[in-house]
Amino acid sequence: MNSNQARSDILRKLAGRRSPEPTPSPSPNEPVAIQFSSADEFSANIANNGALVTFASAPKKALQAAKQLCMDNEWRQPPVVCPALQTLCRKLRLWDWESEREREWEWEWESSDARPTGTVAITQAFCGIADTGTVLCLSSAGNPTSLNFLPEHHIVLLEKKQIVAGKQDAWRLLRNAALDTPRAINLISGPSRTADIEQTIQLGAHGPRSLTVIIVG
Amino acid sequence: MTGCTANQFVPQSETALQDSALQQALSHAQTGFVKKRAQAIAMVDDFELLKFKAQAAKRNALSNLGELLEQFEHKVIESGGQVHWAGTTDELNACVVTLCSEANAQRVIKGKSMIGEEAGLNSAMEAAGFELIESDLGEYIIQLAKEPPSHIIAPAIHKTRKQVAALFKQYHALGDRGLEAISDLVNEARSVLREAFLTADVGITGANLLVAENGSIAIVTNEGNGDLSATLPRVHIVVTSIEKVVATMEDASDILEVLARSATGQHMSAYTTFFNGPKRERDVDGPTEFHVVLLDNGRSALLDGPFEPMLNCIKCGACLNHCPVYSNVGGHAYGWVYPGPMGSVLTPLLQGLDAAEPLPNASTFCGRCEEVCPMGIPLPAMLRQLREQQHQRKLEPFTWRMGLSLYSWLSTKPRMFPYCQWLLRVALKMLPKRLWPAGRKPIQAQGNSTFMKQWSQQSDKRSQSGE
Ligand code: SF4
Repeated sequence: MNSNQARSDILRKLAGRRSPEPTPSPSPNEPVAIQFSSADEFSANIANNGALVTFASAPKKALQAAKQLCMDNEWRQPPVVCPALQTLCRKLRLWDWESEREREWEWEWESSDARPTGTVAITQAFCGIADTGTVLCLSSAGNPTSLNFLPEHHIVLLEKKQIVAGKQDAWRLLRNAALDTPRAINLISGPSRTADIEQTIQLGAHGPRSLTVIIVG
Repeated sequence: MTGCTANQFVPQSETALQDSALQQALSHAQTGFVKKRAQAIAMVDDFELLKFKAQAAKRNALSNLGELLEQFEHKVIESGGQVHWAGTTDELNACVVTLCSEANAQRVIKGKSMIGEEAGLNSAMEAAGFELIESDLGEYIIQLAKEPPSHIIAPAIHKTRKQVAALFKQYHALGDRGLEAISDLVNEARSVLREAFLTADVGITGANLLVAENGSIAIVTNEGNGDLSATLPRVHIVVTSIEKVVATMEDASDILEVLARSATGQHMSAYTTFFNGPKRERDVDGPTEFHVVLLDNGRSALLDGPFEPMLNCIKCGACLNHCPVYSNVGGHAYGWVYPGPMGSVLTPLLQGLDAAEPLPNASTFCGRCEEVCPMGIPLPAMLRQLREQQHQRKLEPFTWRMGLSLYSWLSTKPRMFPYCQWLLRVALKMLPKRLWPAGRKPIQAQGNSTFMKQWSQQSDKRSQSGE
């Protein structure tokens, strides 16, 4: 096996092929400005995908709503909160972070093989995509990807002014933000599901059994 | 390479038709996919426009394939990853085995990958002494059953819940428990596989798309297994093929607009993720190594030829779901990893026409596959071309060729043709029933006059009315 040999073989076969035909554009008048969308359209579509949606006027209120959600559902273990929201969360004293029993549910961020084992994770989205009912999350030190997949229940905060019409708008928004390409861009359109047994949809295959989006603003 | 038994299509179909569990499983499946796709498409304003854009993105990519692959490679390296090239499936397997050995891996968790199936990667990994666990629920089930997938997006579509429960009881030492409900089965798989995710050293996934402009790879799943495989283990290896590259994120999303709608009838699958390189300096999770293995395996030879459109395929499975042949015989009858209409074209192209002689004929030419294909692939026309090639290369069975020559000779003899038809009708009626093979019977004659008779009566009328 020689990857370099294979590389030059393949590229040689692909080189000097016919010149690319220009791709006709189906709708030349497509707007290039970012189209934003209403929270209503977004929430109707993501609800259709099986997610829950609630509204909050400010981040503080959103975290309080998250706490309420945990209480209503009897998710007793304190949630794993993404580092980006931890300071605010501690300030609000929503969960008793000092109690020894509860602290074991916190992810030890320093140790590389620590895993979040909590029931609930709270994270932030970069933007929402209305037409398919999707939240777009970027991985970073403040928002580790694992939190979108490991918990039983995922609560994600989304700023209302960050809801765009379609995927193309989301890429424009992302380009405007001029961030370095993150390791993972997660487009999440509902809770984890499978229909692999008898075509019957079952929620909570490997990822969260429920997804709650709290729209902030 | 996974063994190809496509030449046994006919006996394999006979077996499939007699298999009542399979027939039961297939009956659930087809209607579900077909209905959901139709609903999803009815909900978008202009699906034809979405198809047009997706096809344009792909056409653009294929006509610049070499440059885009080099750009992709450059960007992957820039973001800290590595790209490996494999001309054949053996090279791909050897490359993945080497990467796993170098990483001192023992346990490997795998997401669904048709390229992995094409290469027979699982057996190569097991032969090299690694413990490999499939994480897509459907793939996990067929891994336990030691069977190949029977559908490109629902690999265990041929299994009933009872069969799955029996497999779980056999392989999971979890004592006496009820596994009647589908939710019990899914929950059991979730907890067994969660352990595997947390302890695996390497995660192997496929990719739905590769993006040249930033070196990202896209994985689409509903279960979230691809994301866990790509995030938790310390090494992530992507096995994929050269035709999956597109130029930009915009082009990638044009294709995503038609993918989930055609595949499962969702506007978007639950999870679509673009992965880019290994974990960043400040990240607290993610793999420390990121590898992409690019497979050719005969694809570059299809470019610029009559079968180039097959490289547009995004493996959505719509053509399988709408195929009357696939719906009756299921995926295993086709004898290799790609079944249904797309398989009937792809298998002869990748495995050789002589290794898949019956497949171009495993079609009624009803045309539904082309109608539903979001990438506009002219599947029936390509099957017809393969039939022509077969005929030119004299690959069909002798009796088949004889029959065809006889028919073409006879059809040029307008007087003799109806007479021979009559003879055949009488002969068929007189044939004792027990001479028919099991499960087959003559089609009952419809109406009380033949086509030829009606045609001549009508042409009498036509000439009378002066048309
Ligand atoms: S041939 Fe078309 S319909 Fe069939 S799997 Fe490929 S893209 Fe889908």
